[in-house]
Amino acid sequence: MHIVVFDQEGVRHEIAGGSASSVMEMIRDHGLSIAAQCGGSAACATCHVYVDPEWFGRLPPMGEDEDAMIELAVDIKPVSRLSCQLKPDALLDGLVLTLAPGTEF
Amino acid sequence: MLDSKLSASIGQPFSIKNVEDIEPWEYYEALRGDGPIVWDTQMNAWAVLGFEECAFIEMNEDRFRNPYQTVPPVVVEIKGGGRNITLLSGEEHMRMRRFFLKLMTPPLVEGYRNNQVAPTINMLMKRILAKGTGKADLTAEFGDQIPPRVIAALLGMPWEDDAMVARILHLHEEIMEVIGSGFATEDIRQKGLRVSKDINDMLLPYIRDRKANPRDDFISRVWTEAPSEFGDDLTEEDVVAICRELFLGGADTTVHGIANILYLVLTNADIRAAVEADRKTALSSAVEESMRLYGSVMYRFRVANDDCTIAGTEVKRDQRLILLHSAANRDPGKYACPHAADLARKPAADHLAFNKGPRSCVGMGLARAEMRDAVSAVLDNLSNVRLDPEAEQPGFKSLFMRSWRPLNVVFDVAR
Ligand code: HEM
Ligand code: FES
Repeated sequence: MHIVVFDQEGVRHEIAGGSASSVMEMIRDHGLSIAAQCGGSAACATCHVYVDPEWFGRLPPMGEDEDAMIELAVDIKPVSRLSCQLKPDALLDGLVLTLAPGTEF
Repeated sequence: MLDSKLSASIGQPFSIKNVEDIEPWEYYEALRGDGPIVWDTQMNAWAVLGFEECAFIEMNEDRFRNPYQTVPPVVVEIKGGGRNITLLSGEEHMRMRRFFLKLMTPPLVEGYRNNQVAPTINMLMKRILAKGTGKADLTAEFGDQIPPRVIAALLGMPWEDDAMVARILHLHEEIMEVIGSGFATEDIRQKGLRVSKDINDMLLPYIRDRKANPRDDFISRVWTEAPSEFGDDLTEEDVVAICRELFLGGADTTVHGIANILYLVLTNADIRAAVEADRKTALSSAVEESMRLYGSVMYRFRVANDDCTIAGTEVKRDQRLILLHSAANRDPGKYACPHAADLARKPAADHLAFNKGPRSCVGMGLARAEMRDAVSAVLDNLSNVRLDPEAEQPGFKSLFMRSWRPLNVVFDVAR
C-alpha cells in the first residue's frame, strides 16, 4: 500500500507502507515533520490531517477517542482525521492527505 | 577511561543508584549484554533499557499503570491533591488532559513565545550584558530563570519578582527529589509534605484572587473552564491540584532541557555551526538530539497490572518498572551511532524524553519553544560565546533530573 501526502509547505511525498501500523507512522517514518506527540494514542491531536474529499467517505468512521480529541486540533475541517487512528489497508491504496497546520514539531 | 566510582560499581549488583552524580551511559552500555530489562536491587524494580520495551509499556496503560493510580493518601497530599492530572486515570484523566491541551495548542504556544518567553529572555539577557564582564553562568543566570518565570507569567503570578522565582526553583528541585526517590522513606515523605504545603501556599493567594477577579491567565482559565469539564463542584483544593502539575512541569523539567541544549551547542562545533546557519530545521533537530542524548527526566516508574513477559523476562503482577529513558534513548537497536549528536536523524522527535502514549507531556510545545529561543538569544547576543576554560567545568550530576551544569561562559564585549 502507498499513500500521497502533501506536507505543511505543500510539497508532495509518495510514501510506501513498510511495517507501519498506522498512517501517522508511515508519515513519521518517512521523516516528515509530524509531532505526533503522544505516539499514536489519540491523546494529542498533533497528527491531524485533511483527507482528500474523494477519499474521506471511504475511511472507517471515527472512534470515540478520536472524536473527542480532534476538537483540539488546529483549524479543523469536515475532512479532518487523526492519522494515528487510520490503519494501513489495501483498500486505502493511493489515499491522499495533507498535513494540517500545528502538526510540525 | 572509566570513572573510578563507575569501575567500583561494575561487579556490584546493578542499580541505577550506582551512577548517581556520574555520567551513566558507559554503565548502561556495559549492562545491555544482559538484555533490555534488568533487576535493580536497590530500587526493588525492573530497569527497562530498551527503546521498544519502554515505548510499549508507556503506550499500554491498561497493562502497565502509572504508580500514582494506587498510592497512599500521603502521596496524594504531596502531589497537591486528588485532581492532579498525574493521579487521575481512565476517562477522568483524558478529560483533564484535553483541558490541559486546550491551554497548550500550537497557536496559543506561539502567542506565549511572544508574550511570555521573549520578555523573560530579553530581561535576563540585558542583565548579563549589563554586567559588562564578558562572563556568565548560563545555567544560574539564564537557563534556570526562564521556565519558572514563563510559567509564573502564564499562571498570572509576578514573574519579575526575583525572590519568588528563586523560591519556585528551590521548592520544585526539592519536590523532584522526593518524587525521584519513589517516596521511599518516612523522612522523605515528611519532607514532601512540607515542600508541598510551601508550594500550595505560593499559589493560593493567586488562586483565591482569580476566583473573584478572573483575568487572562491559566489560573483564571481553570476557574472558568474547568467546571464545565468536570462538573460544578470545583473547589479551591481542586484548583490547587490542577495548577500544581502545570507549575511543576513548567518550572523544573525545562530548566534541565535548556541547560542540555546549551551544553550541546557550546561543546559540539558541528552542531553549533549548523545551528548558527539555520535557526529553523537545524535548531529544532538539535533540540531533539539534546533531549534524546541527555533528556532531563532520566526515568519514569510504571507497575505491571498482571504477570507478563517483557523481552523474555517474566515480570510479576504489581512489580515496579523503571523506564530508563536515559538508556533507551541511546538504544543501538533503535539509533545508529546512538551516542553521537546527528541532526540528520529522521524523524528527529522520535525519542522518549517527553514519554510516548496517553500521558506524554502536554507542555512539550512550550518546552521546545523555550529551548529554541534560549539558544537563539545566546548566539545572537553573546559574541563568540564559549565555555570558560578557567572556571568549573559542567558535570552531569544528580540522579532523576539531570543536566550539564554549571555553564560558565566567556564572550567578547565591545569596548
Ligand atoms: C524539557 C521539558 C519537559 C520535559 C522533559 C517533560 C517531560 C514529561 C514527561 C516525561 C511526562 C510524562 C510523565 C509520566 O510518566 O506520566 C510529562 C508529562 C506532563 N508534562 Fe511535561 N515535560 C517538560 C515540560 C513541560 C512543561 C513546560 C509543562 C507545562 C507547562 C509540562 C506539563 C506536563 C503535564 C501537565 C504532564 C502530564 C500529562 C498527562 O498526565 O497526561 N511539561 N512531561
Ligand atoms: S499521535 Fe497523538 S493523537 Fe495521533
